[in-house]
Amino acid sequence: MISEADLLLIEQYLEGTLTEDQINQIDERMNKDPEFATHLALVKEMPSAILTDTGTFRNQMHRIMEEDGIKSPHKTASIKRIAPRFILLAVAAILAGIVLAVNIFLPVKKVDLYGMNFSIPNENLTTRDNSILDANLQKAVQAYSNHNFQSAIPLFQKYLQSNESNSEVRFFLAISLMAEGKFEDALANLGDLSNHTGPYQNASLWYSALASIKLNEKNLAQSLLTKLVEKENSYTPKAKELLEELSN
Amino acid sequence: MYKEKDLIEGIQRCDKEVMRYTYREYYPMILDLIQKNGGTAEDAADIFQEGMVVLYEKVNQGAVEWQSTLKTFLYAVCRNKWLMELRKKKNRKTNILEDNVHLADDTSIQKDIISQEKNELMRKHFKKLGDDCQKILKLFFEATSMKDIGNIMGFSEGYAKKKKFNCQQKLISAVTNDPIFKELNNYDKRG
Repeated sequence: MISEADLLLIEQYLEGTLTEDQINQIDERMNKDPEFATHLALVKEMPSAILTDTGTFRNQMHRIMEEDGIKSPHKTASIKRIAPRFILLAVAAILAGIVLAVNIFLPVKKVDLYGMNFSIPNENLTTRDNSILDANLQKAVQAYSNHNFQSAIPLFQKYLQSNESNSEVRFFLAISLMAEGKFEDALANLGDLSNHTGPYQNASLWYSALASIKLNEKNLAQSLLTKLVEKENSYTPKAKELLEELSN
Repeated sequence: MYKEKDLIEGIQRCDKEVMRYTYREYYPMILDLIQKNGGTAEDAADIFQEGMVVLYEKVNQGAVEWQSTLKTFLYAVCRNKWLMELRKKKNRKTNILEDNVHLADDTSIQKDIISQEKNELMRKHFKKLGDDCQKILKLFFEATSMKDIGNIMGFSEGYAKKKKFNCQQKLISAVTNDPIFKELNNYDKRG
């Protein structure tokens, strides 16, 4: 596992901001330490690997070859063996099913907006000295970090029984509830945090708005987002975008 | 008829006409190579497409100094890819291909192929990272400042830096623990 210090050193090496002595030390280390050399090579290639879109190029090439009657490469061979007519019928049936289900059960735009904007924030309770964390809370934090929200929820709740005013724990309980699809419970926990000035106020307004979207409470979501837009904070750009999308 | 420079620039920007031209001009020689060396037309199509992807990555690496023409580069890549494929199938008899072509820089071509496959592996594991990680790393590699990344993501600058490091660490760990990566490294060492 690469350390933060090594990653920083490698980045500086690649940026060319190290002294000659430091560069020599790195070159020497690369010769002696194959793991370090591997890490350096990966960090070097990472930007171009991530930013180069070979998928689009590959698909384009595939289409050009197919237009010319060239058989599909092996990677798509299993699809090729199925009769094209059957594929068309199957695709049409699946699409019809999806459209029907979406129209009956879900307001398309709202579900997409929630999905596009909801992400699990990293807990920051662990940045504190663990010795001052309650044992239950430690377990809850661990479960949350592992995205095991089902276990985290009762542990957070137990901790809050005797520490009702702890806004941090309440916030992460609310996120866990959202991750488990319990949006009304999440809103109830976020409510107080959104209404009172504190470090979690803006985040709570944002997640309350997302939970409201999920619950089809468009007006409530709009009013929460408007608050975020009016008070200029790190959520403002996202809130502006979401407000625009909601009004379309 | 395209000039060499136009072909390279066209491939770099994924230009359909240039790609079609490259395919019509060069695919027959790859088909001939593969069919003469134990492969089918389907193998040739596969190898040609993968060879074009190596070429695409190479031209996107920026200041590449071409030791050969695009045609000879593509031929050498496809030839080496087919050799690697044959070695995987343990078909030792065909380790020397019947094409009477002398390729001066096989080692560097193999390095290009291995590098492309490692990048492909990196992309595979990148797509498995969480949305936040993908977004942070993309922004970072697009030269967005950590302060701006923090603003976009709703994080403090310090937290954005920490998160970026965690994401890079996760990605490096996923790639290096992948058995394919170890296989590619062994191949790279064997040359």
